[in-house]
Amino acid sequence: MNKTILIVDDEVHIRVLLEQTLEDLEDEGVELLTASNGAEALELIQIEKPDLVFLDVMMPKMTGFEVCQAVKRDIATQNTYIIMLTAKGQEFDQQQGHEAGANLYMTKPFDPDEVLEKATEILAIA
Amino acid sequence: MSAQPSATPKLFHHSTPSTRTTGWFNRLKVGPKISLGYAAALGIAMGGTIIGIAVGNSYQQQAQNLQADAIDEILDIKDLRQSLTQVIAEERELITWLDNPERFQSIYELYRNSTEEFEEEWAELLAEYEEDIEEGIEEADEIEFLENLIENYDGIVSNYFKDVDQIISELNLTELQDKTLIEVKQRFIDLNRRPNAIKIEEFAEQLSKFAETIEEEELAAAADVIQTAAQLRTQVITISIVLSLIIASFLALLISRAINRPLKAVEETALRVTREGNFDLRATVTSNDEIGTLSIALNQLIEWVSTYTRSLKEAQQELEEQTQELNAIIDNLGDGLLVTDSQGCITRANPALRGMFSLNDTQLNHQPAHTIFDQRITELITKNQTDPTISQSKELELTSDRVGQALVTAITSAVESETEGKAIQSVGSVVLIRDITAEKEVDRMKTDFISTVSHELRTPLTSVLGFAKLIQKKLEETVLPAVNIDTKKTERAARQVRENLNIIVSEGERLTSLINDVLDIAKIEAGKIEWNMQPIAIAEIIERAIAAISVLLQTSGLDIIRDIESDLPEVVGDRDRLIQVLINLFSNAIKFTDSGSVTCRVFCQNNEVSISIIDTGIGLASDDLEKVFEKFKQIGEVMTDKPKGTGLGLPICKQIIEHHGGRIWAESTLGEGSTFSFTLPLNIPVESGIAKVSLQTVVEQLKDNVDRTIAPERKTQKTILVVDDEPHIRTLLRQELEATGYQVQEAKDGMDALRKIKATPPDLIVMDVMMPNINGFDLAAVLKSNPATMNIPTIVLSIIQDQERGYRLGVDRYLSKPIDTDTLLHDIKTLLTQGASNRKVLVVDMDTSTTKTLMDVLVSKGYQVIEASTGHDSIEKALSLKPDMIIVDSAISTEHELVKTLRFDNGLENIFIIMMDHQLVPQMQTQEFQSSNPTPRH
Repeated sequence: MNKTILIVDDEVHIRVLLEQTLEDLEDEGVELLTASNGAEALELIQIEKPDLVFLDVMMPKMTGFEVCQAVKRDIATQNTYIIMLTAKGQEFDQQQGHEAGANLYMTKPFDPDEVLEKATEILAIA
Repeated sequence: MSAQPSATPKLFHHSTPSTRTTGWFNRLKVGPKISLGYAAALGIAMGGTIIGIAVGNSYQQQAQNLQADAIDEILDIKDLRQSLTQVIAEERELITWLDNPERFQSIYELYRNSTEEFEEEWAELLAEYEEDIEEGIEEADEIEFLENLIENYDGIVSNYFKDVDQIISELNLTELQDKTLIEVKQRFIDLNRRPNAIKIEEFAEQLSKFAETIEEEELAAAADVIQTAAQLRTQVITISIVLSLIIASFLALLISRAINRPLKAVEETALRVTREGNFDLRATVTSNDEIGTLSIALNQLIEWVSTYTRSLKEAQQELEEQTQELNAIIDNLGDGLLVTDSQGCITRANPALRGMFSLNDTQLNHQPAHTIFDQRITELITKNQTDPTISQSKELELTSDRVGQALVTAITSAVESETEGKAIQSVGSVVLIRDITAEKEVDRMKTDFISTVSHELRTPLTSVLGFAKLIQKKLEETVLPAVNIDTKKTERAARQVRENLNIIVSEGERLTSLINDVLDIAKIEAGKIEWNMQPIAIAEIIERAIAAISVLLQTSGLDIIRDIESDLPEVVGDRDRLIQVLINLFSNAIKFTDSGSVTCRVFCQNNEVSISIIDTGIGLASDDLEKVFEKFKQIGEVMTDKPKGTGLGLPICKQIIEHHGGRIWAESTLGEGSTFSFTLPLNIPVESGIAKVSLQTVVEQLKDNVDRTIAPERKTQKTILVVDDEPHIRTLLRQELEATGYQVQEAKDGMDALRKIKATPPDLIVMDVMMPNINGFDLAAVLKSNPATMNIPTIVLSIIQDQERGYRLGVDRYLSKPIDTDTLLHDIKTLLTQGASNRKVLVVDMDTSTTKTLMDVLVSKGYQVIEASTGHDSIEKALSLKPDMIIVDSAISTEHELVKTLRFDNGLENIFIIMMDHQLVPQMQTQEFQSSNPTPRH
């Protein structure tokens, strides 16, 4: 069964960066999806039910926290692994992320190697 | 009494009319004055009497003289009559002796002599009468009588004698014969028959009559006169006595007034000054006696009092002005000011404070502060009163969404604080509250700004760094191996691309850490950092820091030398932040040292721990020693070789150390190395035997000690029931708890929890509050009221901050989300080792109010309280209910040897017993537990 990763960020460069970072996984049959805002992301999650979501916090329409909360509330999607990506390096954000139900929290700028490593680990791809 | 001051001198003028005339009198003292008065009165009385007596006597004498005159007169007249009678008798005798011439001759001689004598006396009488008439002292009828005599009888005696003499001369007695004798006899008889002779006899009779008349009238008159004189004398004496008495009295009155008036005036002046407080009044000095001296003294006294009062008034006015100024300052102070006495009662509050708490119409003075203000302020005051040397500040919410910063300082008497060694006594506290809403707002905006800027910087940086790293990776993994690096040019290009990419990545990373540092320092400055202060072993955090820099240390090839004093006391601080400081200092030392060593020296001195990181590196110029702690002041020239820092590391260190109450500084010799040192104060508990211990403290102690009275942990694995409606929270807790070695059960709501607890009772329950189907509070209430479940320790973990309700329900711990795992695990461990929940406290006291007070406090803190009022009762209850702790009145304890009985006779040797000294307890009720004096004894 194919694994799916959803990349959510309003900044196109970040999306591209993450896509390129994770493109190696495509060889393993992982499908990469992208969304440029929270609302779109939530819709995609509900339809595609990705295994892993890289979720930016500061986005128009719907923040990452809100998306995260909605995803974790919905029984159908509550097992989705969510990695919050934020530019706000404050403890407060981390707490908020925790409360919203995020599984992991990564601060921008992130190390591409680390991202790839985490994704591999989470998707349990050998 | 209401006379004007000017009236007083007039009074004196009146009172001493004698002043003008008798200046000497006023120079006399009061004693002589009185003596003089008495002497004058006595003298006048005596003089008057003497004069009266003298006048009376003189009158009497006069009367007596008059009487004597009258008697003389009468005697004269009687003599005259006698003489006349003799003349007549002798003339008659002549006849008889005619026959005897010798005899006749001798009779005749007698007759002639008598006649002459009579004539003489008559003449004398007439002469006297002449004189008397001339003097006019003779009475009229007397004179008339005498004139009558003179007219009728003057000269008849001598005429008669002539007649007789003529007869005799014609005689010749020797030859007288009978015949002639008869004839002569006849002649004499004839002569006797003549009118003259008859007249002489009449004359004699008249004289007798005259004498009788005089006797009758004159003597009566004289007696009258004497009587009148006696009366007169009495009258004169009486009058003179009365008169002299009046004069004496008048004089005495005058003198006494002369003494009394000035005295009265002095008295009146004194009274008026006293009554009216009019210090312009002066007593007039009119004499040189004691009263004069008194007046002078009084005037001086008034002057003195007046001066004194004036200066006092001036001082008071000055003081009032100062007070008014101070009051004005305080009232117009922008900051809220609250002053309390040592009992925590409000003594002063300014309008700003009232405004801050919307207390405009509330009576504040003399109210206990805790009845008006919330716990945060009263806690500050209580702490300050417990230890006046500590000035604390705290942020608190004011009304209408404003934020204040309260700073409390103790009011200590200056004198006592100067005396070294004495405990400073605080007489009250001053709480100054500043509205820092604007500052907070600015702070918040600043923080927001920084966080926004940092966000905006991070996003492009993410792309830059991310792509750079991807390029690096792709270059190394894909591009370069595929490229033919045969030519030198290609090789050089490949090397340069790699190096350039490395620069981009490392600079990007430096930019990232700069952003992190900026955020960090902004947070510290804005007070946004939550400081997790706890006791820390210095040696341990140093090891942690060294471990963190081990990689750096290895690459540098430097030696690390530990010069750490053994038995260092613990300091209170934020572990992670202090490690951050140490890492920063170590990294700097390594960065700027090429060869040699880095020494870490730690020692304890003057109540503080001093930590120094000493390197043998390039060192710093003395001018730069201060600058390194300033923001963005990297010492460029010196560091050009290794520009690796952000310039914010040391300023952050400084902020962190200063927050801990320590100091940080650098010492260095250029080229030889630098020493960066900081100190951390040791919090040494104040040893004060009589220091008041608040009940809060006792409760804390109870808690600690109850926690310690724990049975040894059983080896079996404990089961913890996690009740939360959010699955990920349950998961999170499960992971953490299982990692610690507990067995975990989950329940998704209160109902589910009850079911699971009934099936298999867990050893501990961790529950959320906001849950569907029975919320946390209700669940706790159900569990704590059921004997089967009431002993299961319960921890509430919620975003809802209602500790009070939780503890009232009997919850053992109330923790707030976000979850602080360390605290949670610590509490779980404590509660599990402790075993049963709801620690039982046995309170033994005869005074029910004390018991009530303690119960209220303990129950509110979640203790189960059992009362006992006698020694036997308490022993029974202690044995049957096995409380975790006993609070006992020392009197009861002594009486029943309670401690000994329980500890040694009944096997309760692990029980914790607190004795309360009863005399010290009553204060509790009045001071609402703030300053009671229970003295724990072990």
